[in-house]
Amino acid sequence: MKYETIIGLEIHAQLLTRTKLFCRCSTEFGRTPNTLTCPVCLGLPGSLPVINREAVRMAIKLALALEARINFKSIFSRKNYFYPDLPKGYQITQYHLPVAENGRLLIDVNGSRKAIGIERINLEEDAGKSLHEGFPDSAEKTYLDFNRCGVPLLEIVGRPDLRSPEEAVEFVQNLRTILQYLEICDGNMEEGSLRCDANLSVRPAGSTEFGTKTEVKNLNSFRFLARALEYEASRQVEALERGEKIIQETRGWDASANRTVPQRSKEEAHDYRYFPEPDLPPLIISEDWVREVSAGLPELPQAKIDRFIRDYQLPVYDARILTGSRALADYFEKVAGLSGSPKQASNWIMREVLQYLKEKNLSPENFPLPAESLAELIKMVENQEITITMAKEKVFPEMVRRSLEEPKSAEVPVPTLELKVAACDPRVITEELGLKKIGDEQALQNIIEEVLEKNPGPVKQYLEGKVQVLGFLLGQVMKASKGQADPQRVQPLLRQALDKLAKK
Amino acid sequence: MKVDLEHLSRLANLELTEEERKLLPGQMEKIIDWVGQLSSLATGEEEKYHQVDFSLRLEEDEVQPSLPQDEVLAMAPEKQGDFVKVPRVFREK
Repeated sequence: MKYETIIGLEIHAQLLTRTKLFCRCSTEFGRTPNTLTCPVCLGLPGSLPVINREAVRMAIKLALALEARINFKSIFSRKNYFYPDLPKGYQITQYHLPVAENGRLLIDVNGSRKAIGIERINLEEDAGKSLHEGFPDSAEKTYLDFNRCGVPLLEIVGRPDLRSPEEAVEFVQNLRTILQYLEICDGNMEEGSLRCDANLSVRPAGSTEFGTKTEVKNLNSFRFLARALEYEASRQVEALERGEKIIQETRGWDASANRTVPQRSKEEAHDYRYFPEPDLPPLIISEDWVREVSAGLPELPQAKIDRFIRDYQLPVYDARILTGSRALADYFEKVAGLSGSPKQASNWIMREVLQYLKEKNLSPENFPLPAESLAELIKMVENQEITITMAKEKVFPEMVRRSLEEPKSAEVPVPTLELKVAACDPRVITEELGLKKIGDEQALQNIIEEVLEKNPGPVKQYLEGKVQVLGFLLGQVMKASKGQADPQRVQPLLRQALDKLAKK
Repeated sequence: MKVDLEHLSRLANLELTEEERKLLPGQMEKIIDWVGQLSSLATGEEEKYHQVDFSLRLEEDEVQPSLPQDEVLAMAPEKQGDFVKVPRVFREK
């Protein structure tokens, strides 16, 4: 029997505010454990929460980007459960009236766009961090760091509209890019600033009823997400084929065993006894505020992709990669504009720049070479001042190297863009490295003659009709020119010279 | 309204004495029924979550000092180094 997979995702995005959701303790990551807490986030008696304005603004931004309906009045609730990393004994979250509802996110499925429903967006606080391993007495003890207690999260609850693990990955990728464009979450899954849980069920293809679902947790990378969902879907299909029933349960992804395993449920879980948070009156968001946030929204990834395809005539693939981050998209637009060659700009960025970033494990905003400089190099290639090979293999790496040197001058003691652009000027580098393309026909002919004289054997073979040696001779000419000759121009000249010899 | 004391005490992480087990259900049911009278009030179309309807004060996102670590750790029943220590959460494994 053929089966259909149904997936709904629940994403938690840690917000990039400076302070926590209900107190003004810093949210800085990696600080000494238990140094960023106060009576509010520790839940000490008598303390009262006060909402962070910036966190609400970020929620409005995401709601607008996901075309969700913003509730001008929303309610915070207490979700009650006992766990050592939750010192208050409850999490302040949203339940009865979330900050936004009914949004959608577009994903690409086999070249067409599919809208995935967003049920709700909640503002809530994070819990602390439990360390179960790594201490001498870890067999008996759990260690707690409360620094993360109260850090703001947006919980994004997607509808069960996804039909495959690939769609789920695409959904998370697109959502992450949007969060990054909005500058409200860094999207780092490994560090836990973007967390993903999935509800998954399978049903016979064509059926309209949902099967029993399981919840899969601990999907903290794109690779794990895809693998865990694939595993869980086939596990359910196999169980059904054997005539077994799916048990509704929470399963965790065990990366070392490559499978999902049932998780011990938090005792008596699912009875969270939600009730409205008595310490916080309703959160009121004014229409003016929404309008103001809306006016400041950046161009979103999907719109940028469409514009890149339309205005720069880029293939969909290029447009998608280049818009993967705002910094990369901005860099591309600058290089494209300055060089006047969007297609070349795209090629250079998709290959050389991205390869460099990957090798050095850098994000696009940290690429050292100014767009002005790369644009200049592209112009030189377009004007045939240098061969593309030399530009890529010699000049580009040298430009990047020099751009890292943070040039300063006597008058200007700090590195400025002008100094940097001057320091990695491709014309200067080309000159210094002696890589200028040999444009002079006489010079090329001199080299060709020299090569032919030095290689009487192959020349003889060529004249006897073995034309394949032309490639070898061409290589010799390129070598003699130290790569500065343009093979496109050398080839006809080389043929001419050989033809001349043949006539002799 | 009937009270499942067993369930509630587990949710609240409370151990009850035999005496309390006998005494509490009746008392709790009385309290719940008494408070329950409020549900009969007509509050208009919109559900009321709060007794007052005033807009919330929001605070600017500016860091203020946190509590000193030694003060925080001193409140914990058990600590070690930078951490609060509790009985292991997942005993089996």
